Amino acid sequence: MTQMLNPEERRAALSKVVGDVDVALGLPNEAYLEADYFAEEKKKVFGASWAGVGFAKDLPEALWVQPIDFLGEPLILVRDRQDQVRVFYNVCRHRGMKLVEEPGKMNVIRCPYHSWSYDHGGALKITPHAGGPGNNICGRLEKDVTGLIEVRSHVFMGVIFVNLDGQAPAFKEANAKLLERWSEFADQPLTHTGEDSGFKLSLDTNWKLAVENYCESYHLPWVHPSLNSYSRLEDHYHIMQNDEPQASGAASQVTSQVTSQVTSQVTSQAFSGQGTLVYSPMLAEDGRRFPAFDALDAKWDKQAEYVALYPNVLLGVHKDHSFAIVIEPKGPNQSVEHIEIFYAKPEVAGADWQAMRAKNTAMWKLVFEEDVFVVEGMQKGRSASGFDGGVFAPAMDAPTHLFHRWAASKMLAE
Amino acid sequence: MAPVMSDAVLFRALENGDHKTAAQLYMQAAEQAGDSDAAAFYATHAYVHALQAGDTAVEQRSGGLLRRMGRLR
Ligand code: FES
Ligand SMILES: [Fe+2]
Repeated sequence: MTQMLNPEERRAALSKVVGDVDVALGLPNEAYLEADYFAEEKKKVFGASWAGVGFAKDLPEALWVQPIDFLGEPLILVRDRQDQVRVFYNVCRHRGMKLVEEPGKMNVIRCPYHSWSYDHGGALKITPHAGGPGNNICGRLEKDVTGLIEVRSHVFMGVIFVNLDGQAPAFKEANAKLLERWSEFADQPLTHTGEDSGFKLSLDTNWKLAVENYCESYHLPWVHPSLNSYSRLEDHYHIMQNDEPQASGAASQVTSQVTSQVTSQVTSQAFSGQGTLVYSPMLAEDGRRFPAFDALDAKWDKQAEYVALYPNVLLGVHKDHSFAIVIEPKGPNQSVEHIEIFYAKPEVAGADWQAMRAKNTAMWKLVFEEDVFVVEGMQKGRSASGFDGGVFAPAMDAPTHLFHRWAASKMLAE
Repeated sequence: MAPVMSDAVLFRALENGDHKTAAQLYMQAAEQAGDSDAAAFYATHAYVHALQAGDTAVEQRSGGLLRRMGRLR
């Protein structure tokens, strides 16, 4: 049975989501099931924001080019001659041929059709025979004008972000609050140690359910009993950063056990999640611990934070490693989580840390796999046509509601 | 315009994606061509393959030739 709403019904349903947490409903079923809604999200939710599309570590050296498909858009991720990450549409300016099929280092980006060739800054090097055989000058073409179409991009915490519609404020401006919160981590070099520090999970679920589940600590005692043995529910606090000018009713949930840290500023990029006060770094068999990032405040000895940077990037920081998850939305009920772990110091890439790295990756893999049945289970539940989007437990679900409200308000925007 | 070389070595290079060899062979053909149209045609191909090979020497030679003829900006 289709759960599609007409425009009026949709507006009414979304208006209930943007209310305060104690009266709000969750997003309607169509937001998880319908291709139409998904297509509109592409423009209003992803296109208008800074969305994660990949990892800088997948461009291992200058002149590397990686083709990707993001929400049906062919893009190339490029590391240019100056080592800067750039993103372009993967399409030739001539007749629209897709340029690159396979990743690799290439000296020039040559279109396989008529061999127009671009450098890694997108500029045309030559348009062979465009002015007739042996003549490479064509009146219509300006080498520097008819170059590849660049998409705004920015690298943060190892993730390549893009703003498809080109209208969002600059990344650093849009994310000023998170950059400030994590200023101690933001500019530190990250070490990625290769295949033993990443994995993928293909999920039969809508991308939003993966975000929602990440926002909350409420499920920890039930879904992650092993984590809860050292990181109990009462040691967690909420993190909420609105993108609206004024704090709302969701702004100060304080219970005896869970304290919320809430700030509210105008930013175009909202985030929410949780922190823990009792992070205890892993110990190797011989008693070593991973080396920590430089010059961290003492609070990070025990604290760690987990933030969903809307729309689709999930981040975690600890004093000795960080991780990033890019959720690739494949369709209304299909997503892939790309998970990569980064270390504070290059020496962790060495062989003597191999066992410890494997242990850390296995630990996170277990945690994220434990979440699979819930994000897929919520997807299944959404086929119940009588379900109204669900209610929020204000003390526990405020970060989750913040995401619903953000997603709903993007869809309500003209 | 002179017919395209039926050079087995060139075709093998093209087939194998050996851009460096292709660039050099096209550059030779350009330098030996009897008329300027043929020279420009071969130099164009030399240039494209030199770009792909990262062969800056042939890139400069073919590019220089084309620019002198007013056929490349
Ligand atoms: S379509 Fe790319 S060169 Fe013609
Ligand atoms: Fe979880």
